[in-house]
Amino acid sequence: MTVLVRIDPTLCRGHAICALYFAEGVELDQWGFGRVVDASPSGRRALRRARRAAAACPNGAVVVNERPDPVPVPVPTAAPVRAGVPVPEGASDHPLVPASGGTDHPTDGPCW
Amino acid sequence: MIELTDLPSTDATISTVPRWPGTIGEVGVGGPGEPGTFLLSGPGTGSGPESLHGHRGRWGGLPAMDGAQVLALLRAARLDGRGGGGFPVARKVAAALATGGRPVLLVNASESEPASAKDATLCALRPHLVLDGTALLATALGVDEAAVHLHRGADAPLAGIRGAMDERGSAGYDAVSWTVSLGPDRYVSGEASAVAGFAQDGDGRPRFTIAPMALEGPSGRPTVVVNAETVAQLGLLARLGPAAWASLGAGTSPGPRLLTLAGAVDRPGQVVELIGPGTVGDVLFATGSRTPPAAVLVGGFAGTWLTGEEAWQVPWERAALECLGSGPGCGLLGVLPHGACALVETARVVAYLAGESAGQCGTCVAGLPRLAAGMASLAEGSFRRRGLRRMETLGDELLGSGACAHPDGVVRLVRSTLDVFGDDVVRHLAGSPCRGADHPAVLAVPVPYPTGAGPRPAEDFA
Repeated sequence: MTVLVRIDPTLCRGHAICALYFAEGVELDQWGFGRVVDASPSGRRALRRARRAAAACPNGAVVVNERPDPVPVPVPTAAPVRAGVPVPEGASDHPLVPASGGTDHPTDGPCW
Repeated sequence: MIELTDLPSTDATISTVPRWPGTIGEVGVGGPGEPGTFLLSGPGTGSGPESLHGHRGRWGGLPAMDGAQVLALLRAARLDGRGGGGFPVARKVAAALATGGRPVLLVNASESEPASAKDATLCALRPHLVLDGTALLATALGVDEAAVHLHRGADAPLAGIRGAMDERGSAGYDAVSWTVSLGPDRYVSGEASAVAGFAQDGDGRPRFTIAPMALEGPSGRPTVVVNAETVAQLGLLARLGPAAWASLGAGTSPGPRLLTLAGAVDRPGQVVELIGPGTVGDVLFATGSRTPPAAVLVGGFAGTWLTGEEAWQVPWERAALECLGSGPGCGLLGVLPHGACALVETARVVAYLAGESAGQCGTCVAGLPRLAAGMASLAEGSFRRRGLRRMETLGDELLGSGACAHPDGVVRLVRSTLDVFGDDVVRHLAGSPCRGADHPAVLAVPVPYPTGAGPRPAEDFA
């Protein structure tokens, strides 16, 4: 079970009731708007308090999202792409990028 | 921190703008239609949107690829989003596909950044490159519908995109059913959740989302929102292949990069394409500057300042910019000349951004006007050291407090200003007259919404 407690800032009007019920998981800023500091409370009691905070919020701004752990869904496998892609004359290969594969995230280069 | 003196000087290669194809590693900078460019190659600015015939003549037809091939291409090329966030496109697509739902595809060409013009330039001059990339992304997502989102009043980009959609429809060029979505001309309405929300129910305010939109958007369906330059890059990438495309960039920023020049430059609003491992100095040199300016605002209004010396030597590459606490953002270079005051300029930008709150989140509504007031009094020299500490606390509370990242962007700008211009801050605090106080405004900032009047009404976002 994955639990995610969030406060919808577009609905929060600073009633601060969440900070009473779920004191260990919510902090108030200088205007009294709540901010979740423990988004994944562990333990049944903490979870119960978070649910209570959600039920008590007059604006329905506190959301306790409980989801069963996701079953891994197979992601479509990447077919080799080089074969189908014409590389124009004069364009050189470059060691930066492998012909296919590679990772999704581009920020693993050396820091200058 | 990077030792800037160790970086190779590229002065030799920029005295004349090199012509591509050249040696890999050479730097090229060019505007629409100028030799050496890729995204912007073709007819010049005066010719208007390139016709389907012309586009096809230069690039050939839409590459025949299936969805898995497009996804593999995105992965191999490591194409990242060019709207500011830099999120890898392959991950968005893979996440949307993994849900098993029917995805929504939206191209974000709204370009809310007032000083940026790269997306508008692409839509107005190279609409078919934008739509080619979109069609390929639609293939990857297995959908046959795509919408291009623009702000109302963006007439030239709208004409370019509409015309191109009509041409493709009547020529049977692709199998995509195209629509245009025209949203409110507000800063935060260009944010991805606002774009997706507007397409769903006509309310152009950012949304509070629990799951990433690629998993579940405002419509309940997985929603992929990509920037217009990003899809144009895909249109180019599909023709060149990942290796050749990546070689047009540098290291952690593969592919060509579009930049918009603003402030003290020959032509504010000029869009250029940077090829190869060029520095900010290369770009400024190629567009008429000869010496480093006082400072450069990098990445947008919600970006960061770099001193002119730093900026001049830093390669336009993600890792290098991030080492300096900055990032490519939307590719804006706002040039501050010697003699102007960065605090005064920032105060004007922050006043504008504070007035652009959508008025939904309490902390943003209460905090941004105070941050703007703080910057304004710092700029005019009526500020005490205690006020500076309060501004720091205010920044902490604003960070991560909103449904969107608007407050975070304003805090980032203010913090980078206080960091980079520490000496100026001390002078302003001491009440010494600022030498730049009488300097004419440098950055073109829209008239701010008066913050005393409360936030903008919801009608402004419909």
